[in-house]
Amino acid sequence: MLRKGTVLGRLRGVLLAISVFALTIGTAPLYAVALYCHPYYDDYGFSAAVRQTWTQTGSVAQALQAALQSAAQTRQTWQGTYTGTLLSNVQPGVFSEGLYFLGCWLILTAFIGGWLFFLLTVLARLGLRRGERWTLSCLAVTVMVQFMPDVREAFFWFNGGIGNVFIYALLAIAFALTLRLLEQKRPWAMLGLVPLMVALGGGSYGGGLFGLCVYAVGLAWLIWRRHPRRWHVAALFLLFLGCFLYSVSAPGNAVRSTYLGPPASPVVAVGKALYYGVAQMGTFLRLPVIGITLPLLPALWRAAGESRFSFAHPWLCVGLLGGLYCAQLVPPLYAGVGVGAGRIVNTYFISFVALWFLAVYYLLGFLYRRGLRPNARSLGALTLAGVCALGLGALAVKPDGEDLYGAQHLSGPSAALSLVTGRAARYDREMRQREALLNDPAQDEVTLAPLTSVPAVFMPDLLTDETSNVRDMLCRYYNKRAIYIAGEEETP
Amino acid sequence: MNKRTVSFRLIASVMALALALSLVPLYVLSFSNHACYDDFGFSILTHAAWRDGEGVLGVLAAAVRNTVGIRDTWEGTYATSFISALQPAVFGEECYWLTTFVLLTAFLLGLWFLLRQAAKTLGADAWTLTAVFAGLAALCVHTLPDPGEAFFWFNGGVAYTLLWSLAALRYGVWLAFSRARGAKAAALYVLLLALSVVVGGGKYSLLLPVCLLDGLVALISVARRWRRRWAQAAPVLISVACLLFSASAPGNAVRGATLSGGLSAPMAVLQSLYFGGALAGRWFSLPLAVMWALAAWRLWDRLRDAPLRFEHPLLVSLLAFGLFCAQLTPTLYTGNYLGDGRAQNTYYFTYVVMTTALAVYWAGYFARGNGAKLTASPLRVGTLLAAVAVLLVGVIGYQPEGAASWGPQNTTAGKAVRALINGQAAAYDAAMGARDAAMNDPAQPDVTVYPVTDVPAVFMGDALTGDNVSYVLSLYEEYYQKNSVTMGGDTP
Repeated sequence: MLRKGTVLGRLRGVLLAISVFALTIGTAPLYAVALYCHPYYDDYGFSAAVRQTWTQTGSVAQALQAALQSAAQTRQTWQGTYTGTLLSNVQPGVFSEGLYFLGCWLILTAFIGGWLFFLLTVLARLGLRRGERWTLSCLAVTVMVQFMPDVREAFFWFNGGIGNVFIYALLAIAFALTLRLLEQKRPWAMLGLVPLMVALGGGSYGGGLFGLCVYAVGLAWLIWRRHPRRWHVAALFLLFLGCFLYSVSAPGNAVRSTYLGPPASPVVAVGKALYYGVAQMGTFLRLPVIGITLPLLPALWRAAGESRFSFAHPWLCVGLLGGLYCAQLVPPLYAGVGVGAGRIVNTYFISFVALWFLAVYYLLGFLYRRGLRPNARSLGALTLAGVCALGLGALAVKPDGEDLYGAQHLSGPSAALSLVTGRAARYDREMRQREALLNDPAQDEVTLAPLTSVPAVFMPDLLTDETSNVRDMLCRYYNKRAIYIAGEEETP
Repeated sequence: MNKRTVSFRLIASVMALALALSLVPLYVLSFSNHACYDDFGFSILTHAAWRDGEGVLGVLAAAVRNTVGIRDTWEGTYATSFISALQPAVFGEECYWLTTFVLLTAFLLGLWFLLRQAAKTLGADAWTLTAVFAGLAALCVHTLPDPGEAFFWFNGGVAYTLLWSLAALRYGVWLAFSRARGAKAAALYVLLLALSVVVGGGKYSLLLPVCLLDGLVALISVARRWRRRWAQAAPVLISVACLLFSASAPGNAVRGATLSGGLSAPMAVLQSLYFGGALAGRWFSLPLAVMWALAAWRLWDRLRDAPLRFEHPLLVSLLAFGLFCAQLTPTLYTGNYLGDGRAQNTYYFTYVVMTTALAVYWAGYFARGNGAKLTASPLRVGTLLAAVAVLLVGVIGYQPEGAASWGPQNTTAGKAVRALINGQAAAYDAAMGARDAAMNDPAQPDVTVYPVTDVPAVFMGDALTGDNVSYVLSLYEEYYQKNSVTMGGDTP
């Protein structure tokens, strides 16, 4: 056993400090660059009516009422995911474009806080010591943030982020609260869980199905073990399910599907979800995830060894975790949109990282029960190997369309580069010029200049994209008759 | 718990069979292949000699003239210039299928011979050699960056794949020489020196790490007072002399003048380390990890008792990383970034072989500190299934850069099978065959050619669809001795 003061004990302390530092220093540029972020595309489309109400009345209550009406209308005409729809109606840019950063901060904070809360709660129940679980949680969240497949759609586009990454943050909080509920003498956690179930039922369909499947498996286990809180969880599950069915039954979903083409058969969708789910796992199981796992193997191994679980069914456990993971992919594949856009792939990545550690823990427990014991001296070697793997994984990042490999493409460094090079400030300046014109009631028709600079972590400028209908959205949002692009108004 | 075991012989046999079957589509597809771009440019003289009835000796003499000419006007890599002049289509376009037979077979033989000698040195059995060879060869052939430039284009393949294969063969011969005695040793020594001269005329991205590795081997052999250490100095000196001879070619300056964006030597070295790390991170894959585990497990007991001490794993890892990165230095130095696909193919081959060797070294390091025997234990079905599951996740998750989806269809074999089944290969062959017929028709002094756009994914494509059409047309004119070759619009 290791004792405080030994070299290895100090190494653990250093690991903890590094992980907290990495999370802090890695996310700081994201918060900073968010100050330069501006509304984008569907932000305008979803919240046009609310903005009209706000500009006309200046009343928050009336704006909220307009948001509810707009969400109800969207349920009839586009989709039933009421949580995302309602929140998208009140994106902070409605009240002032200068407040848009609050939306980014909300999603980012909810994401980091939610997943830290989940991981710390779960890992404590798996037997990891405080320092170990903080190390693992911070490293896992750091990897989630820095290696996010599409950071733009995760944190810097309110409409895209609130319906996906934010919903998964709520899901993480709900799972953690449910675990706490199981241990509480009085079910205080229900106070938080009931609204969460309502919110999650109206979240994304992928997240909803994933959450329901997790709750179903957990509930089955609780009933089998005759856990005293099983009926509380059953009630939560039914509430979640009811809200989810309400969301699914929205007339707008049928309208939307006419744009997307005929849905796949459920059997085909499930088969494809299994295939593409495995493919996604193969894509995500790369050096960064392995890199943060290696130094934590001794801690996970020890915790698994001290656990009361028998770890007798590794195939069943890993298969179940894999099945739960694949369940997320069914809704988009059923709807005919493939595995989904970047904002949806983000949620697969997040859930993969979370489930990965559970699978590793179980497999280590299985090995421990078979007589394979961890060697405390291996911590140093594993830490070194982990650092190398993480470093190489960071160097290997190369987004589609980029020529160069490198860590500059990670979320935090990319945001920091935008700040240092002035790219973010230039983007902000040009967007403010646009918004000044758009907010000028004296101008019924405005001419906007294309942006000369967009930070890599922000969504691209759609104004010059002829395939997008962003100009119609802007016209409705800012109550304009026409919007031109510089040079275009001179064209006959 | 499942305690059924499985014979390793069966596993090795299945792996070898799978490799053999996966290679069949590549060889079959080669019958639809046609010469491309520099194939013509490098063989104008040899083609003229063959056409004029000068026979094989005349062709060889023309190849020598071609090599000397290229040394003065383009580059000093004499081995690649000489062999490129002998591209199979010189003797008839219908012979171009030999390209794949030469390149792929030479690669397999070179890799097999190297691994065989390494296995003999470590005392591994034939089944271990079979399994490791099958796995590594499958990885190299089916998941390399650019299969077209590796195995389906003579000019590019000879310069990189073939010379890499010869370098592998050379190191295999070196290992064999270090163990052999008497006349066999003398014969191997002569072969080693001859191969040193050939490899010395290869591309600098190969020659630089070869010289560095040779120097390292020579230093160690002198420091450790190995047997025949002075005899082993000769191939090192030959490699360095050939490098100097090749680098001093007047043509290199001519070629250098056409390139831009070159780096200073220190900057090229630093960037090699950076991008070497990036590629090392990028190319990690689950199937490769399975191969590391397989090699380490099968050799564990041998390593435990081997005369080698495996006492410097970190130093060896760093040296291996340095050698890997050294491959990138020449292209970075000349401003060609990481090199074309054909160059990156050879980096990938090195990566696969080198990392497996490192896995074995690390296994040796741990085996000597651990009394347990592993190899002798029979393989449990559960362990085998776990390895197969990881392998499958890696294969299903395989998505090379630019691929639309994930899966085995992205492998070289997958692409080849698709081209054969959907008739794409036959259509390409017919279109290119018609062009060849027109070019070889003496009654047509003026030929109009039409670009072929429907090309199998593993072929190079029609050079007429590239951005250097006038040069390609001039090559056709010169190669086929036409008055004019012009490009028509749409395919007739």
